[in-house]
Amino acid sequence: MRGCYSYARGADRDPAKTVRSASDDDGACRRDRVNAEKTMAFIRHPKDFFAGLLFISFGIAAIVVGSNYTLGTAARMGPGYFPRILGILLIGLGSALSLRALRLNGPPLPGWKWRPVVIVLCSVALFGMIVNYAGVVASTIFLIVASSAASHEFRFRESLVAGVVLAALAVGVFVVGLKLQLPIWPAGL
Amino acid sequence: MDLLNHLAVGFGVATQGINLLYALIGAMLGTLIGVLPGIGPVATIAMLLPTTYALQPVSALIMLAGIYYGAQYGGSTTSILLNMPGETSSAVTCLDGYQMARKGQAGAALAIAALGSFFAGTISTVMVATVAIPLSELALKFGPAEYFSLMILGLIGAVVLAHGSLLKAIAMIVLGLLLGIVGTDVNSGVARFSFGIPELTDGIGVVSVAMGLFGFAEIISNLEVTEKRELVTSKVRGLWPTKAQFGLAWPAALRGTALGSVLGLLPGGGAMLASFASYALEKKVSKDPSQFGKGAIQGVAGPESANNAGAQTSFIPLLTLGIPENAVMALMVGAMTIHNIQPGPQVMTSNPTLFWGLIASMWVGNLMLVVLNLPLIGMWIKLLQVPYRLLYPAILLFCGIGVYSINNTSFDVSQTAVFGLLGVAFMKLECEPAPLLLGFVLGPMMEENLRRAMLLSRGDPTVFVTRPLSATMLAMAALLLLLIIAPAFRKTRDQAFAEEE
Repeated sequence: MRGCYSYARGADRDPAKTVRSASDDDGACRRDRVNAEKTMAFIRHPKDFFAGLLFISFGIAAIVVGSNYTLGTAARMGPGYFPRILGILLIGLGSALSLRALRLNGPPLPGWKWRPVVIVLCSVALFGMIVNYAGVVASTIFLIVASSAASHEFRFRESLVAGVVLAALAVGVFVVGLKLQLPIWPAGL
Repeated sequence: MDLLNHLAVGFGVATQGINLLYALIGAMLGTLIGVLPGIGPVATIAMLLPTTYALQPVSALIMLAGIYYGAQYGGSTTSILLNMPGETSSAVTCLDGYQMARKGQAGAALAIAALGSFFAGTISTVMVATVAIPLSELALKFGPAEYFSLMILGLIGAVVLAHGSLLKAIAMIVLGLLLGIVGTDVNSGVARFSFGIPELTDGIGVVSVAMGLFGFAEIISNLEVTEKRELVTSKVRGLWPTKAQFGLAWPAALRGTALGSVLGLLPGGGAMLASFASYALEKKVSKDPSQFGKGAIQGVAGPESANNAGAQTSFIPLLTLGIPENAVMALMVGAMTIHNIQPGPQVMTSNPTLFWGLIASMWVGNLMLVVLNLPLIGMWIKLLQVPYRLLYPAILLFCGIGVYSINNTSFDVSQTAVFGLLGVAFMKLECEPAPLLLGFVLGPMMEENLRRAMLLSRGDPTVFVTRPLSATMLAMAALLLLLIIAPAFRKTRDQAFAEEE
């Protein structure tokens, strides 16, 4: 579609050609559109389309949340001025991206494998929550075993051994070596 | 001579025992992560930033810088032996390096890569030292309007020279700027976008953003790939290249160094762009381009010199103007801020030992890297045999402890996980995270300079185009934008013509 569009613009310089190309153009574009409709309704470039939506929603959030902050004037900007500019820019850029995605063709969205995403992120977040109570040793072993499960080659025993070794290393490097304020053993022991 | 005096001061600092030690640690770690595919310098520096609190600022920066250029050395090893880039900047080394390894010339390829890198490192260290003084003097003349325009130029440049969609990259910058201003507004004391969370009134930590978007997202995407990697040679024999190979390699290294040094200076430049550009150049100037892709030694020497030169000269804009030009430099800004150093032209005068010490340490670090990489190559090869399923949980552990220890709060760890999720989404949507990180670091600076410039001009926005320096920079930014839009326009038009025929 982009090809059709820019061709028409490029041909503007040559009036004789424009007539012919415009009709060719329409034909090609219609064929394109029919093909695309078979695979996906009207979003031709899903990656761009959803990226655009993501930017638009951040922009709207910036403006809505930022509406509580004083705008001020151009000469004396309040705390709300710059975020407002950014919010408007984000909405503009996001819309351009999403609208363009209705005309440009692009590859489909890649699939998500939820297992690595959920396991990796949750195990690290949980590690952060327990480390101060459970101590470095226990929480390290937890993190290593839990996060290893994200791999398709997961072996429980191997990960347990790795966890113990790394727990010793973590105590040595971080608690003894770098003197970080972290308990080694669970609180109350 | 002034320059020699400065360098003497610098070498005095860089050769102090403690700084030698941290340069060595940085170079070692850099090589390590460079060798290991799937973890880059951005994630590593983010991981180690918190641990530098206790260090002297100069030692901390020396170590972190060592990681960046060390990664350029290490990355080549993986490219040559595994046909898989250890670092993105070594991706092009795969093409000919791996072919050389298959022909049994792995040793020669590794040696040329290391020697080329060392040569480039030496030249670009001198270049950093010579360019730094005049650029800093120029920067001292900048007012808020100039700074604002400079940041626009830097950000636009970073986008234009990066790959991928222009529109997305600009949106990522704006999103970064927005995330950057989360927290208490310095002028009014209003806590912006903190959603009542006390931890957010101090702003989002650069470590969380970088580690989430780069580190966690990289690990997750690696876990989605289930293919196995294979090592081409577990034994590397004959490290020394032949005379003929040497004769072909040194002019390529020279060209790579020159190209890399210049590209490293540009916003958005740095190691990756330099290596790709150098490969293209070598192919163009070669008498027999058909050899490329079949094990041409120039295809190793050029890019490997160029990426190291680019890695080093990309420190120049940071040290003299205070403007980071790539994701690694954005983190260096974070490191300097942690130690209460405001990056910019004043660093050279207010903190000369740090400034020159850091520059001199680059050469010292490069020397260490040649030693680390050539005789110890066997050790790095062994490391490549560690399976990823054991590696990534260890990386996660270091990340977790690192982020937690910044403020001793679990909030930071959860926040990093959220950025990890965002990073995965960006990856799926093909949005490059580097521009976001640049915007994130520049956000507060940009707002501050915009406010000051507008205050001084009494609300008249034309100040940005009436002041000559500022106008020049904005014009350059516009030109860059036009440059990228024009060929894209031409290309699509050409496609339309081809379709017609």
